[in-house]
Amino acid sequence: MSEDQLAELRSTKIGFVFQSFHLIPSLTALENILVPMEIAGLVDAPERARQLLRDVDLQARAHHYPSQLSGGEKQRVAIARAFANEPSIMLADEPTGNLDSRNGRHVFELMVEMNRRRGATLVLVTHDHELAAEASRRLSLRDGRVASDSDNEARAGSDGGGRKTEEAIGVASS
Amino acid sequence: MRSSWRRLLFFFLCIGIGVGSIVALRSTIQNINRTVAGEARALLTADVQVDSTRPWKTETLQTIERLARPGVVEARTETIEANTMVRPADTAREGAMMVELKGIEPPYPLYGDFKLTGGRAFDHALLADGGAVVAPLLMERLNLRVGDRVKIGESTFEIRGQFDYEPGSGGGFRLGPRVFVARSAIEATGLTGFGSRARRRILFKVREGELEGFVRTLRGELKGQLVTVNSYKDSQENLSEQFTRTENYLSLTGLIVLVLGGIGVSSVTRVFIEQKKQTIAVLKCIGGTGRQITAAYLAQVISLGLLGSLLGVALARGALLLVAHYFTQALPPGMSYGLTRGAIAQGLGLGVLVSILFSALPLLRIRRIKPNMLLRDEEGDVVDGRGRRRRRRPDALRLLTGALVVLGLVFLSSWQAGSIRVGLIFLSGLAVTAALLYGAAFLLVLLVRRARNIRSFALRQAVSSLHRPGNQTRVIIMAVGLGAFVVMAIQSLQTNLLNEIDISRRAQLPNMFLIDIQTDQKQGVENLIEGATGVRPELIPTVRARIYAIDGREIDLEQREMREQRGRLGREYVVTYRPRLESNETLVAGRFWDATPSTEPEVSIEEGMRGLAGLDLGSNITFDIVGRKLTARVTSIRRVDWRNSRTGFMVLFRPGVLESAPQMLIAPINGPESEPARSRFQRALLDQYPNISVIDVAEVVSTISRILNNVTLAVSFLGGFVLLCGVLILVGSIAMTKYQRIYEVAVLKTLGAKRKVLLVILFVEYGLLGLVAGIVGALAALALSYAVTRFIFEIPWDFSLTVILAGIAATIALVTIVGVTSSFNVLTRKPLAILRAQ
Repeated sequence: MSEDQLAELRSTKIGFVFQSFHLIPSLTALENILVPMEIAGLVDAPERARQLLRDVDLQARAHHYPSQLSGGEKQRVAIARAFANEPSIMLADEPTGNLDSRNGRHVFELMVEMNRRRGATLVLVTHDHELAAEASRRLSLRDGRVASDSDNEARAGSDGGGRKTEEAIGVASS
Repeated sequence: MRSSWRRLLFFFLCIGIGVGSIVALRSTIQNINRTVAGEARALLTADVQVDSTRPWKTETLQTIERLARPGVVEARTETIEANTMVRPADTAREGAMMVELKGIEPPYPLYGDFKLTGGRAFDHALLADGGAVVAPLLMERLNLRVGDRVKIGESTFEIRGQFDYEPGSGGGFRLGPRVFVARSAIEATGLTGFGSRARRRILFKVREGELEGFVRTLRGELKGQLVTVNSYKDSQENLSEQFTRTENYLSLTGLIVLVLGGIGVSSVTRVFIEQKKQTIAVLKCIGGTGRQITAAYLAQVISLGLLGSLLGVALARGALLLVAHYFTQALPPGMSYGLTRGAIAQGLGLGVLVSILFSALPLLRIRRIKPNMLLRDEEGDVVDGRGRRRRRRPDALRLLTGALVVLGLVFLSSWQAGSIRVGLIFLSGLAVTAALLYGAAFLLVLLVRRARNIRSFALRQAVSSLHRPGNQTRVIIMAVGLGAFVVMAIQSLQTNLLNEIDISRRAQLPNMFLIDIQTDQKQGVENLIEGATGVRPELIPTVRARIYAIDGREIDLEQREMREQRGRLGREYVVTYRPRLESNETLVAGRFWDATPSTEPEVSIEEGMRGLAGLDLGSNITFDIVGRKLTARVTSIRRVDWRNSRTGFMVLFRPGVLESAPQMLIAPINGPESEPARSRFQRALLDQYPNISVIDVAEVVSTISRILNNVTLAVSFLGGFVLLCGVLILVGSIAMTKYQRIYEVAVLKTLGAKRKVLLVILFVEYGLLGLVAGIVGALAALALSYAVTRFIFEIPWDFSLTVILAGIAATIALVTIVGVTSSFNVLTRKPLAILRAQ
């Protein structure tokens, strides 16, 4: 696929959440959420953006710049942004990695909640076993290869904590 | 580390260009100076010259003969020069032209030599029995060939050769091509008779060591005889002074480039330190003190500055090779094209100093970087609750450094200008322009920050990237704007100057001047002009006068105070008399006389003469009019609007005194429109009245335009350097913030932005930058050209919309093209890899 086709795909089907947020620093929270909808050319973008901001409970921060937001707030803006175009897949790369555990928990719950409400598939990459435990399907990677694949029900806590190269992929599906 | 310094090279390249232009300019002019001053003898064609605009008085000649003893003077010769008309002797052939006629005799020239076309050696035999050697321009214009015969006054001359180079030719302004004939022949043409503007010179070759004594005694004994004594040493000194002044002024243009480079260095150091924060914090963690780290970075800045300056010297060397290749014809023969040691030293010093001065303040930031920033993940600048960057309060060290930097700049510009006053004026002008540009950029950022309601996403995105953190908006606008400013200011000035001198375009003003009309020819000439133009001309009587004394104090050009006003005191004034003021004259002081003639001599002087050797209302001026002294009181002072004048006289007499003095008439007229008709008219006039000369304004204007064009070319060249430097800074600034742009593009791409949108963003962003830089540059250029035109040239100012619009359009195009092309590869990067690397 060409670069533009890839962009089109990302615009309509996939939402991204990153470990280090990647908000556009020169835009306010609301504007950051607006960007994907504007790129896609949505008509009711402003109302939707405000709704999304409400969904992540940040109405009060609408006109703040990323540098004025805390890490957790930033990530919540990023989540709202990722859901803007109602993607069918949501890719989250260590979304809680830069947050303390309380904020991390909040962000994770928010993602799961939004995910449920909007009916998307959430692919979450994390080192956090607690979070991974909550996924409906879990893939363990070691050195880039799948070490184990388990449904949530079959989970027996056998993924042996403390292995440094391990990554856990939680796949939550509706 | 190394790769980030490579990006800095752009800015030090600017330093290089600045240093290069200064070194090249100074070297060239110093070389010319050395050659020309070394050939001051050849320019004067003698060691000593005595000249006069009158026929020699016996008394003067006797004095000269007595002093020019064989033991002192080794050779002497005499010349006569006059402006006059030349026409083909064959009455069937058309055309007539004003020439600068020069009568010579052996052993002219005492120094220097002729170069005849075809390589033949010059021989005075060529001029014997009515021979003439002429400049190629005359041959071309009158369509003549060697062997043809021409008429000058009543005499006929045969053209025996043409010359490529004449002795003593300085290449300055001329009313017409040079024609050489034998001196004895000029006396016979009737041109040296009463009234013509002939200049006579006696040239001496003086024995080694006798020069100064000879000049001193000549001056002493010839005092009051209205002759001027000049030695080649005087002209050498004058030339050197002029060259030094030119050199200094031109170097200031080079300094603009350097300062521009300095601004670039300042901005790049700031961004660089910002990017090196982590490294610096780590260095501090392992025990490096702020002072050590600052010193290390300062050393890098200095070595880069030195590198840039060395590059500049190499560039200058190349530039001089080019000059040697293309301009040998226009420059004095035998000139050296090497770099002078002084210029190199100055260039290197300037480059390093500018680098230090402009990086000093940004380097001070190093002190503020704390090791604990490694632990906290802080982004960008400190921000207060309302989203504005908090201003750090300046501390004593910063203020002190700032003051030192300003002092350093004052020193640099005064040094380059060769005068503190000029240096200060230059620096304030530059500061005002830079402040304007900076202010405009600041305003732009402020405006776009509020411009949130733009519909189009791409447009809004472009606008917001102008104030993205670490943006280079101000630097780009300043650098490009300054470049655009210099180029447009030069263009605008040139247009205004050309308009001004192109009097021929203003129909109501005369475009031809007929001079040397004898009083008994009045009737006939008036008829002839009326026949050709349909308008009966007004003939104005003129008398030639020199100022002999003011309030009884004799004009002595050896006196220091008077020497400085030599040009205006020693010159010959053309004066007239009439009972009223002309419409272009206004009374400034005193009372203008009534219409009745008076035998009591009264004059009205032009404002410009006020203060000349103490001259003012009520002063008594003693004039020398063809040897007769006449003292007149200044009873009024006038202002002449030179632009709207058919004629303008510095000195105006009340009728009643000058009527009996020997006089000539002049006629300012509007000649026939077409070139052939003008030529035919001049010819008809000359056939009937060979003593009359015609100054065709159109010809003069084209000569001045040519000289002016050369000057503008040279200055535009420098302006081009300024612009080039602006572009380099633009490219460098884009490179500096590239990582940021790559990041933003990656984010936008993951959010689904296509390449078209990203391209539109780029175009709009740089288009906007270009627009603002262009507009501010244009405004500043207009202001400068207005100020210079009105207050320095003192001519009316014309606004040329075309120049300005073209300038702005060109700036936009330049910035957009450079900006988009140097950011283009950002668009092709794969987004995820970049985001994960962050």
